[in-house]
Amino acid sequence: MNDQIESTRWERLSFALLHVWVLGVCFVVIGAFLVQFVGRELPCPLCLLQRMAMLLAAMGPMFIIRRAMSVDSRPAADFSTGFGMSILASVLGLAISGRQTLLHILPGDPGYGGAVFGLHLYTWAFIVFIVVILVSGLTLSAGSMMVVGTRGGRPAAWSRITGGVLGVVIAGNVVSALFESGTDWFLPDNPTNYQLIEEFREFLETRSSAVDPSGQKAN
Amino acid sequence: MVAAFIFIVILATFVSIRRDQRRRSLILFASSMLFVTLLFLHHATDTLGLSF
Repeated sequence: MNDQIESTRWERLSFALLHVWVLGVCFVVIGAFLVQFVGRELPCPLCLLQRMAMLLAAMGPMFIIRRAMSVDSRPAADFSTGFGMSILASVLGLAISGRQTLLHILPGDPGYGGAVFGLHLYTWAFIVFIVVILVSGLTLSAGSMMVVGTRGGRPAAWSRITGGVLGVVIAGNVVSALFESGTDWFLPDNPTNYQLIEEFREFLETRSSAVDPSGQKAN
Repeated sequence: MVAAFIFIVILATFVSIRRDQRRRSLILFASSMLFVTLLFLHHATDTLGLSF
């Protein structure tokens, strides 16, 4: 009986940890948004790739949370699939942030963008990916205790809020990336403006120059 | 545009997870990973003139 109560406690802790994980990743990406909009620093292509890897790393816990509510949930299989997803995305993110860190590692190099608490965003991203891999490894090691069982019915309010926040953060990135790249296929290495706004401005100027000063349209 | 497209695929992955479509969400996740890797390889080799 005591073992059963203990196991339920671990299960609850594990389920809460999954929510904290998703919200933690959202918090980091929202921080990057603040640097982008408040600090007026446009993200470079590698920064956007790190955001993608970070959001993909949050898909694993989101997958486990959602599957736990499903009628055909397979707790152990879904648990390992979710953490596998997170580890894969984090390894990719580690490679991307590691490369950007190495690009600016020489003494005297000011790095890309401003520093937050003494470290650049790509260095923070490197730390976040290492933490995600460590937490995934530790949780999988304690799999028998931490595996989240089936919780049928509608998702709880905090699960829906967590999912909603993640959805809004991803949608925000879609809009931001679209404004930054405009109609170009790829971003420049050091973006200085929102390409879509520039293109729209140029389009308006072209239209107005096509109209002569007397107000009549040119042939 | 490529970056925005990948974010859209990630959004689709998220939506399929929310709708509890197990197989589709795994396929979309794998696709997103592949696209991110390819875009990373493009940016990493761009300055080397490999035209990847």
